Amino acid sequence: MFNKLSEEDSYIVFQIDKTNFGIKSKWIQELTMVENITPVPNVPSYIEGITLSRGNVIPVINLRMRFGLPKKDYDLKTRMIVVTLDNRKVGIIVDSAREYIYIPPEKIQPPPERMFTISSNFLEGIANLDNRIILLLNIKAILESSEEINFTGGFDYEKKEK
Amino acid sequence: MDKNFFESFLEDYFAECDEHLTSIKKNLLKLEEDINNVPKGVYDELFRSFHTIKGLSAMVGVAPAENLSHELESYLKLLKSGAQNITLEGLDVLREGVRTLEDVIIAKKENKDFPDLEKILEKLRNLTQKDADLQNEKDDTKKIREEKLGEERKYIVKFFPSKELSEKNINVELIKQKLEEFGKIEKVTPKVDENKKIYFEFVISTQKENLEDSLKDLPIILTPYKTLEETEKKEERREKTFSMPTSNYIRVDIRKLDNLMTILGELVITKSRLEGNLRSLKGKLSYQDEKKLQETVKSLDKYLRDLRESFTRIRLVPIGELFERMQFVIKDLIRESNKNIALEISGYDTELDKYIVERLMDPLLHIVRNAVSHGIEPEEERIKKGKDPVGKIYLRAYTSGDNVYVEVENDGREIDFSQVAKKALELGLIKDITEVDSTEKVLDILCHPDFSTRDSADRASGRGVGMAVVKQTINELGGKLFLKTDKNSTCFTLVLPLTLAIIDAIIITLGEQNFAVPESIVREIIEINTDDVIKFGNISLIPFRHDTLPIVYLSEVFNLKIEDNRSKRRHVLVIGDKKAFGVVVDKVVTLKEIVIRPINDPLIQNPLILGATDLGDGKLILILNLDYLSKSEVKLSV
Repeated sequence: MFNKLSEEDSYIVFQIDKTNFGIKSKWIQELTMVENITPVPNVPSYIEGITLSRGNVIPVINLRMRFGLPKKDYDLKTRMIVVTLDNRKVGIIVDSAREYIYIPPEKIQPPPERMFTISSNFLEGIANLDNRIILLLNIKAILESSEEINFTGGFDYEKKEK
Repeated sequence: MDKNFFESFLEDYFAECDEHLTSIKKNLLKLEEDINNVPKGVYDELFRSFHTIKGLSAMVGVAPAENLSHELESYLKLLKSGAQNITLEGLDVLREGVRTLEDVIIAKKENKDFPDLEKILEKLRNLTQKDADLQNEKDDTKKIREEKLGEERKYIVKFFPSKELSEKNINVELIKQKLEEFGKIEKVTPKVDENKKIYFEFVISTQKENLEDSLKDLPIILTPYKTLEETEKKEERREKTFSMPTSNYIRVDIRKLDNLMTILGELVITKSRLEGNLRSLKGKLSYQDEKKLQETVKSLDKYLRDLRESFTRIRLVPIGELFERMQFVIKDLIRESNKNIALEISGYDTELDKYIVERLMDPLLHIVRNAVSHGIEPEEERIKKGKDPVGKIYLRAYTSGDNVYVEVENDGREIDFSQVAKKALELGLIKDITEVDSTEKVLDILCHPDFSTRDSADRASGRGVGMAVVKQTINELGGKLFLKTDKNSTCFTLVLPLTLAIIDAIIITLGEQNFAVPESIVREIIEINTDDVIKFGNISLIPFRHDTLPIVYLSEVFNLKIEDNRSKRRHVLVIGDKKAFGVVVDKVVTLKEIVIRPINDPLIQNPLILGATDLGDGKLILILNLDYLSKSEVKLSV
């Protein structure tokens, strides 16, 4: 049975290094260039600081650093995704973000129990679109967790457990 | 033009309906108090309100609202004339009708589907025996038509509605009624004049002579229905032939106020630029000229401050209007709970910024909801405990200093620490039950997003997720929440700032960054040379007056590594009174008025950071609460 795709199935897809990630578009308020971030002292290094978004002061997280990856300089492709959940608004900086796509639920697998690239608590699922793997993030869990998220980089089907 | 006109016309419609609904709800409350002894005028007012909403809805084309208010009006007509007495069932139907009417109007506002009216319309019809009603109306209209006093003529009647008039219950409906007494209304058209004011134009045909006299007490403009040219000429010569006592109040769109505040902000910035320019002219002007300019700038400063204060006061509204709206909902909640609870409200006149008042309703209602469902015990339990069988919920507001306190208290059960602890442990919010050792900790847990007591089907469920949202909202308003509980009372206190904070701040630089420090906490600013600093163990001191002053480097507090090719001259902010200390920064740049924007995200909770502000260029700078340093960072004792 072909199920009609709804807004629930639309995602913004972005990249960190060569990995594709997706977040449900219903959680996303906007996508912008990175501008005017004011650093805040004495916070974990993955918090870039605060910025003004549509009149609100929101914190900005560098997602690379949140995943334990080394920081990279911003370039013209760097973007900030403003996520809104339960009255919280947070900005997330990623390497690039250009796509808004529908992912049919049939193409999504639940994350396997032992994920060696990123803890499965932080994933809603893994989508496979024409052999392109997109890790669908549970952004709520990521923002609410204070534990370390260690992303060991590059999802490769062939990769064996290290 | 048409679209805008209609939109603002609709906005007026919503605003008017809102007012009428508020009056309706007030009257329903009066009705409820004793249905066997209905106070004078209640039925009349209710009838008029429904009648007005009906008319307005007809004009704007919201048929469901028109139909529903027609039925409600019919029922009220019977009650008003004494043909029927109100019963508990009738009261219930009335309440449901009003709720549905509200929903219909909200649906129109939000462009959503209208709720289904069939049931409530039927209930109302059953109450009123529709036929009898229609018959009455027909009789009335017939009577009017039978007055034949001369040949039939047509007139144009213009009526400009306004808030003052509507406060006197003089609105388009009344005018229509009055006109119908004298003739037949052929047409009513809403229009807009050159000043963008909305008015209603009635075309009335009548046989009455001297229509002018009959209508002389009405605030209308009457002109014979002639060709366009003649009508316009006549209008120019005619004046409004009425004088109504004016009320002292006007309604203002709060966005206009916000706009004015922004302009005021610009004025303040311009004034400080002027001060800056004046300073740079020092020495280039004669002493007298300089003095004169300074006086002028001082004057400007004073007036700007006064203006700012006035604006702040304009935005203040009494919390009573919020309490009134809440009463209706709370009484519903109490009724549904089947518990015996009385509501006591005090502090209606306490004033708060309008923006804050608007956002308080949901949090306050949530706390009351909890008090009704979980706080107040059922009657038998209360009697067993020796408490008054009637439970009490108190809603209080009062001002103290720069803050407004809003309290929601109930005399029910104490909040059980051990139960909260158990649940918190289950949810993984704490690691050990002993962590829950104070009401602050209990409150923290209650406000945690994962802690929810939503297991029963509360009527209001689906709206927000518990105390977490309450805390969030209070935070965003720059306020605080406190809890006190014992076996005789549980009280939630909301402490809110009187206004959205605009303060004077000292702007400083540290390395590449600017920060703002509230002027009120800085006692003095002095300049030092880093060579003069004396280190004594791990304390740094500088000579100050006839004493020494312990100092702390802001760069160290913030773990900021700044290249040391800076000048050795630094500015020091002296903070505190009895236990004064100095905070070393690079330079004090200026004094500025700033708006505090709170930072509420849990990711950024640093007691040193009071908030952020936008200096006007879209870039935020942090506002520092350096006062806090006296509590921890500064080692002040040897």
